[in-house]
Amino acid sequence: MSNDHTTAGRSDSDALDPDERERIARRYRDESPVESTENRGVYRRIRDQILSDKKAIFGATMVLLFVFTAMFAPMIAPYEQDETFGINQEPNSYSEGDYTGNGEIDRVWHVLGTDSFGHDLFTRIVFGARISLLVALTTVAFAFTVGTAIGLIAGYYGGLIDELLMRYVDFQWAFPSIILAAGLIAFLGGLGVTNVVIAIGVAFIDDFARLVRGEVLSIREEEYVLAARAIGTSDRRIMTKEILPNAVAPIIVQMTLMIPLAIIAEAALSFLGLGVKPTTPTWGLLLAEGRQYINQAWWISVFPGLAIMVVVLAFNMFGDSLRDAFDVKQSEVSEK
Amino acid sequence: MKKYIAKRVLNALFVVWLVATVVFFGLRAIPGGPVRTMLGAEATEEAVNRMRAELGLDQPLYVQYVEWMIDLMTFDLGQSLTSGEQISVMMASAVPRTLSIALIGVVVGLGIALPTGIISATRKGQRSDYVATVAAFLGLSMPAFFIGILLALVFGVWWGVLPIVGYAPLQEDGIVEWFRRILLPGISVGVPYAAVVMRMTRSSLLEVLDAEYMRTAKAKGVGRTTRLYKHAMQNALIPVVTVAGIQIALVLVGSVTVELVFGIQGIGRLLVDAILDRNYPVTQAVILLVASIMVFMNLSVDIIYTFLDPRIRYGDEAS
Amino acid sequence: MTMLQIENLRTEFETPRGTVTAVNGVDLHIDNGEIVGLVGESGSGKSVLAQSVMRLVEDPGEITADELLFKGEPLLEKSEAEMTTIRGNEISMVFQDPMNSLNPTITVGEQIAETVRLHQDIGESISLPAEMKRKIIGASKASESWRRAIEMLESVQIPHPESRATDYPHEFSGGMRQRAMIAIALSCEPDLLIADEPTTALDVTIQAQILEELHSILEVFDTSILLITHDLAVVAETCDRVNVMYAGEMVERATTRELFSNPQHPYTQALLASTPQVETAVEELEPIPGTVPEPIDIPYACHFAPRCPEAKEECFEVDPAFRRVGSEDHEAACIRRDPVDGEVIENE
Ligand SMILES: Nc1ncnc2c1ncn2[C@@H]1O[C@H](COP(=O)(O)OP(=O)(O)OP(=O)(O)O)[C@@H](O)[C@H]1O
Ligand code: SF4
Ligand SMILES: [Mg+2]
Repeated sequence: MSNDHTTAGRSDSDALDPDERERIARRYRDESPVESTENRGVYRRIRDQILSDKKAIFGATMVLLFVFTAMFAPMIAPYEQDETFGINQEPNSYSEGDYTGNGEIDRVWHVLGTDSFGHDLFTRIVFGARISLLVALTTVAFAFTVGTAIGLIAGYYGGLIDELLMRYVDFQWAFPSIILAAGLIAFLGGLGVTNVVIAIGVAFIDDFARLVRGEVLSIREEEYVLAARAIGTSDRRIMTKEILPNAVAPIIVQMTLMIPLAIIAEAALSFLGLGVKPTTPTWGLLLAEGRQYINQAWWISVFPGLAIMVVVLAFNMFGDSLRDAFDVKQSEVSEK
Repeated sequence: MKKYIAKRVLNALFVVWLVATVVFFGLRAIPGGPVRTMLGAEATEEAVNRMRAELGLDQPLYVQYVEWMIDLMTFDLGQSLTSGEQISVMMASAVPRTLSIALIGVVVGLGIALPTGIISATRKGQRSDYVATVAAFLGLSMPAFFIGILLALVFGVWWGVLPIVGYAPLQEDGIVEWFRRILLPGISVGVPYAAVVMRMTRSSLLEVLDAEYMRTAKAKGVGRTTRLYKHAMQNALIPVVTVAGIQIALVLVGSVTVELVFGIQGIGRLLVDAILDRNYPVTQAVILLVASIMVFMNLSVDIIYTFLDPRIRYGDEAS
Repeated sequence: MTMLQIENLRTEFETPRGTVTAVNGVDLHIDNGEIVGLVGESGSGKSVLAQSVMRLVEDPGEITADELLFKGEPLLEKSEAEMTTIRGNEISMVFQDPMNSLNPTITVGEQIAETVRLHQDIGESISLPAEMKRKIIGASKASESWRRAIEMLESVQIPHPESRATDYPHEFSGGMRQRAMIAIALSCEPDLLIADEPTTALDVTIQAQILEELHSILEVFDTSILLITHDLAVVAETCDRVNVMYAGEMVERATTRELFSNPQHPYTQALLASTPQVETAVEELEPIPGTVPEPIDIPYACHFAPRCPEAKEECFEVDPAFRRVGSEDHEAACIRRDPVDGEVIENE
């Protein structure tokens, strides 16, 4: 066997040279819509995938609506958060009384009714969004910071440090997070937003620590990290500049999926009476109050419950779509 | 395999010991000590000292620690500060209630999740898959206590077919009454659990159905049903067991909140009251109990694993 | 007699990015007792073609053909149940990736025995409950199917077959797994064996052993083999005839000897020039520049045109029909090759 023949045709005078071939090929390709998608960047691909995903659009819209409601609560809510009217008023009913203090009888509309203190339910729910968002964002930020640090250090250094830190994480893993949070509330001694944030935040650390450690272990031996180490880059720099950016996708997905968990955790603590102070407008407290008046006023519990459901659903859908778009495995991030 | 299980048991015991230790020291690290916090700032020095002596808090830390460990091993959990009742007695009445709810929750949850997950995966992209996926999302988004309130509203208040307050012990009131009272709370905690397990079943089975060995089975001429149950199911269940085990936590947490919805005196009620009353011995006992249940669950998962995954059964620790 | 007769086979996948035509109007035939090679670069559609023959292509995949005859019978007209009796029995397949092609939770012995039970009348129940029972409490070591499984393991030279049969796949090495796959594929003495790159994932010595085995199979079982590979050396050693595939289309076919001594299609020539051969010094190897186009609406007529050193404008516009280009049945699809005796085989 020989391969002399392989050059046989090349001297042929009417054969196109490579550049020309490429030009013609491109002319053909340009007519086809397919080729143009090939050169898109990763970000555009992700963006396009999210934009073409109805689940993501729905989720994102509802999340934005929620954030908007929380931010502009005083403008959206029809009344002050502590204003009281007739108690246990049905949805779409009116309270009558001199609420403005000008000596005249006002007729006040309650779209969702009032609770057992006479608060306008819609107003309470709108202000409740604030607490939910505030607690969710701060707890996840807290858990992310501490958890990522633990995961990075454990994964990067390995050995004894890893063993110790992961022992701790395993230990925390053994606790259902709300029980742990309740225990922490007991330890912190007292109700209030700050304690709730600390309690839930600590309870969520393990999820981030595990995730980040796993990512670090898979990235640690990659060439670019080894290269960075070989040229004497400092550990801290390698961790923050080389490793962390590559673990961004699962971390973002995890954060999006932890926010609704934090919202549920806050509601659960408040529902148990272990959360914020009893006068604060939160969805969990409204649910607890509604349970008490379940025979008289179903709306007190049902509407706040629906609010939780819609917001949590929105975050879950958005997070799920993000996970698909980033191509993160379901088993990689945790759901509790 | 024996070595593997022994290792897991030791690890579980270690975690329980760790929790007990952390709870012990955590409690003593509360600023001002539990007694001060308990009696309030105005309490006299004398009253505080008497209380401390009563609780054995005046002894050196290591003595207290050893005593606490010995007590634990003999299941002596101490007394409630508020009622003086033995905590082990309180537990004996509360634990069956919570576990009843959790049991129904797990049964209902798995009963819904596994068939739905299988149908959803085998009919991927069809209407039934779509409906199941949306339902799972909804289930995932409703906290158990909200489901409880909705169920109480519909079945208790509006239709009046099931009681919505209180518990009926199995031995005293018989299985029917027990079940009538435990059904709604059980469903409440079972639904979110079902949602999580269903999603895992679906995605895990989809992954397995796509595996090369499934194509091999088809190429060998194995029929569809046998492929699904003989070739795919065991492989698909491996990750499902992990999730189903870990998520028992979800059921327990759910039970704690749902007990309050249905006025059941389980460990949830116990814990909440203890925390609000600063009843530290009860608080620590409940936390320790929950942690032990979780550790036990994880241990069970590890052991079930050995039956499902031959790579572990035959001592291949690497996987 | 013809074992397999394929005419104008197309396999398409509807995807979000467009229709992937993985196999685009392919003709192929295999005679009784023949080893036929199918070569081409990665992504040219070899595996999809092989799976199309057994109708193993999964969901968005659509197979159409003017003819897909196996022993004279049209496979595309068979019901799924009929296919189930053919697969593993009359046609069987060895897959590309031995590491993942065996079920990790079923013993190797049972994976072979199962095939025997399915297709051979040995009076063992294959109902679902019976199969599940075997899975859970283990297959009976006294059964005929188990005995056959051990025999098969022995014939593919697994040492200590009795004890290895109870092993799980993770306890086998890569080469042993591929042999186990071959044992499964041969357990029912198929008429046609499709081996999809049976040696690619293995190291050279094991490759040689596996090929040796394929040869002996042919003699013992009188099986026709379709051997898929991108390793031309393997083809040269093993096959009677060779088909060259590029981007979903056949481009050249000939007897092995003819193809290697007188390759005609520019793609085949480039492929040979890029493959190390005994007399060629490594420096002389010329990799083919560029890559196989994704088979989605390829707009130009000859799919090789953008990479072809001999391409001219016409190549982009005129479908290259097959023409006889040498002795015997040597045919190539290139408009720049003059047909011997003026014989052009028109494409549909
Ligand atoms: N299920 C599918 N859906 C969409 N496209 C597919 C599918 N299966 C295969 N393809 C596409 O069909 C083309 C041919 O793939 P195939 O696996 O047959 O190549 P191959 O010749 O076997 O390559 P290799 O040597 O790498 O095995 C590829 O472009 C592939 O992307
Ligand atoms: S038809 Fe033209 S482009 Fe295609 S192989 Fe022949 S010479 Fe090359
Ligand atoms: Mg292939």
